[in-house]
Amino acid sequence: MPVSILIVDDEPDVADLFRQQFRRETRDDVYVLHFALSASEALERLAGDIEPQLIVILSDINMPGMDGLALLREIKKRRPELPVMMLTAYGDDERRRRAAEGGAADFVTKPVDFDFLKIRLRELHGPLI
Amino acid sequence: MPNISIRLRLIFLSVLLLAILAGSSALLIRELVHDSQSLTEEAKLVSVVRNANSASKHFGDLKYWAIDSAVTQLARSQQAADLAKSGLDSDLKAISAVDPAVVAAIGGEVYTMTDLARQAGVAYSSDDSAAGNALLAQAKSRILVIEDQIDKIVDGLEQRAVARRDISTRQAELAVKLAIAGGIGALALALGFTALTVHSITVPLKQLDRSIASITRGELNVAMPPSGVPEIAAMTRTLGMLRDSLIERDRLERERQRAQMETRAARDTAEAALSELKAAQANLIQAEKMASLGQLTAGIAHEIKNPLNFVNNFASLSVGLLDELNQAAAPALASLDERRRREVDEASGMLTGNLQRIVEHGKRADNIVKSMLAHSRSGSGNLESVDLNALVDESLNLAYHGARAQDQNFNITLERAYGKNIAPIALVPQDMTRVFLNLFGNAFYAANKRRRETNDGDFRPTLTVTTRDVGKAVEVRVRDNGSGIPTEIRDKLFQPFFSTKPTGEGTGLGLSISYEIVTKQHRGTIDVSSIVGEFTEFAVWLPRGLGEGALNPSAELQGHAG
Repeated sequence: MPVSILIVDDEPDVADLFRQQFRRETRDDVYVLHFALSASEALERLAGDIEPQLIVILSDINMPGMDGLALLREIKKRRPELPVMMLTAYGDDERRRRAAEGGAADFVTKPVDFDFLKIRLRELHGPLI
Repeated sequence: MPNISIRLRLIFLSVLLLAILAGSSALLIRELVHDSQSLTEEAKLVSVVRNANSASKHFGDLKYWAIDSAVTQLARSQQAADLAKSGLDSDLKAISAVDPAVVAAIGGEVYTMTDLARQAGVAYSSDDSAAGNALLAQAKSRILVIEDQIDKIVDGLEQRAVARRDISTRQAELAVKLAIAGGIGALALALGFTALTVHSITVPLKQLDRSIASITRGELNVAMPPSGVPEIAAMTRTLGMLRDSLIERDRLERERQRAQMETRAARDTAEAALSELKAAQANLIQAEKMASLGQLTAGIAHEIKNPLNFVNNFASLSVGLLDELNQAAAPALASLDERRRREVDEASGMLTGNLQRIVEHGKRADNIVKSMLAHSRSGSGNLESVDLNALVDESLNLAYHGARAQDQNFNITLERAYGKNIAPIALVPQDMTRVFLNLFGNAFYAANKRRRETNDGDFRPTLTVTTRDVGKAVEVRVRDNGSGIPTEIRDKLFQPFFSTKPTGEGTGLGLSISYEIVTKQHRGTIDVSSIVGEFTEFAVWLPRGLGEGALNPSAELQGHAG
């Protein structure tokens, strides 16, 4: 039974990057990847139905309009149980602290170590294979 | 003789001398008067004696002429007898004062004798010779009596004159002696008083003179003896005032010198403060330059970071994809002829190599960007109270093994001069570790570079690490015996991207980040001293008390976060 991951980033190339990195997992029906280019789009997608079951949201922090930390707060209001991982190029303390305060499940610095990310995802969702 | 002026003293002395003179003169006058009285009496006596002798002579004439007249009855004899008698009477009158009774008796006898001679003359004239002789005999006996009495008076008078003369002589001698004694006494008295007066004036004058001499020599603490002589007391007071004014002048001079010294000291202090201020200003300018360069660096890094991430991510993905492609295409490739297959393999191999190079260089670029971003980290670590020696030693081991891992030929002698009993200090351990790693890495590099360049088998690369507790701060010195840093590039050492290492070996960011960590985050200082060809020493100075109060070590750096 596949599960969904929502990736929020204003850079369109991020979608390609994730698709290529998760090529094997999507082909094997482990994950279904969903993308949003802004926080507001992400909230729209969250309001509608995401199939199959959404298990995690990965969000960039620095985005035009609503930023990732504001999005985190919104998501926690609507779906407190849904894990949110923050992805950012800036691994500074201030951001880490605010992300942790906002209830982020993890804080991943770019460039993303995809092997590490996949391990964290399996920990969140439990062993899939 | 207290409080008597010199004038009064001299007047007093003059009066005294005059009195002595007058006294001695009076004594002399009295004696002279006495003597002159004596002489007058003597003269009177002499005159009386002469009268008495004259009376004796006149009586001799009288007796002769009276007898002659009686015998001769000559008128001329009678006349001579009368003349003698009147002379005798006048002489007797003159000496009657000596002994009136005897003189009167003599007068009576003379009358009797002349009367007897006249009667005898009468008798003779009457030729009564017997009667005349008898009468003459009577007259002659009277003559004898009278002569005897006159002799007695003359003798008495002469005796008195001699006695009188003796008395006068004695008195004159006494007067001379008295005059000599009085003169000597008066002289002695006068000399004594004069000496006393002079002494009473000269003693205080000499004291004053000594005081003046002392003051002239510059001995101002001399005593001013009080004097009973008002004039000298006035001079002493004047001298005292002079001395006081000299003392005051000296005091003013000393004060002026002290003030001058104070002024000089103040000027020195001010100059020192000015140079400190200039140094602080230079530091501030340097710090500002560093900060703006840091900001610029971080800004550039931010902009490069995202696209670089994509380059790296896609490059490493592509390596995997190419692998998959090769596997998937393997059966198809196998059916190709030899030459074509080799061409495909070659192209595929080159592509893989290129992608690997992109990944490799991308990682290098990413490291640089990460270092650049370190300039903008908003304090990634927290302050902790740590053992400085342990932190330094840990960093040293890490740096040493890291260097050994990179280069098998690397070696260096490590000398650890860690200070004892250094109290724990609050700092950000990760960041200070980074600083020390950087300093040690540079030192290793410099020392080994020299070893390579000198070709001297005896040269031993050495690193000395010294730690020291200086109370309000700690100090870490990292010294290498490498080739040293030329003076002209010391200013640039802490600038971002300044590096003396060949391209690819250093980012030029190590010292600039260390500088920020030490000066901004830890409020410390980092200095370098070096002699080219001998050594380079970095001194890091970290103040204590950083975690106390409201001080936030990351406050300076937050503004850089994008």
